[in-house]
Amino acid sequence: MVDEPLHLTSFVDAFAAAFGTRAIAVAASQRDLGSGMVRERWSQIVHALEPQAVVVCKASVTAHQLQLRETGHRAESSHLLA
Amino acid sequence: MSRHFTRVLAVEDDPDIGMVILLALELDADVRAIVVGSGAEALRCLADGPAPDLVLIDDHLPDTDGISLVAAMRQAGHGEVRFAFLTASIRDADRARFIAAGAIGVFAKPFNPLILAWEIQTLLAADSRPSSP
Repeated sequence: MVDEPLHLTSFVDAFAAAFGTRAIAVAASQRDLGSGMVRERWSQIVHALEPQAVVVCKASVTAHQLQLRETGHRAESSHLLA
Repeated sequence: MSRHFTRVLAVEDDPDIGMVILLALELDADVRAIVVGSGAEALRCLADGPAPDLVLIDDHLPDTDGISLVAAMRQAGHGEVRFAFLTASIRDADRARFIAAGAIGVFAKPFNPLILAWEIQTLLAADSRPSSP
């Protein structure tokens, strides 16, 4: 038989890398369609993905902040040049 | 001695489900999987070779249905390739229809991705027909 807890970690890592910010939505759709053991496994996968989603979210916010800072800097530069 | 990998050709038109199948099968280091999105691509892949140990077929494809794909595979000379269905149509009548068409197994969607590769390996081991060369 399969070592499911071991596979869960590997699968969640690969799943998060493959689907990125959509990972939880894709996993949740499978959970919602499933029943019994299948539903339970997908629930575990969604749960395991949540901390990774927080990291992705934080990274997105940071990237957004950097972009804003850069855009603001450009706006400021063009204002000075005008 | 070269390592024997179980080769799986999955035919699934939903890209998200196709990716889930790929990730699930890659959990087993002894499995090599290819996912294609249509019956035509599956037939091209079979023609290019090498023959997979199993073709995993979604019953609802954009250009054909699973049973018709099996017929096309046979017509193209791939009648010896073993196949199973992975489908949301899992009523008893559908299962009987797939088995009657020669499927060695039927998997329901959604599936448990943590055991899909193991289930396929078990299915192939239990099947008495010889594996593809």
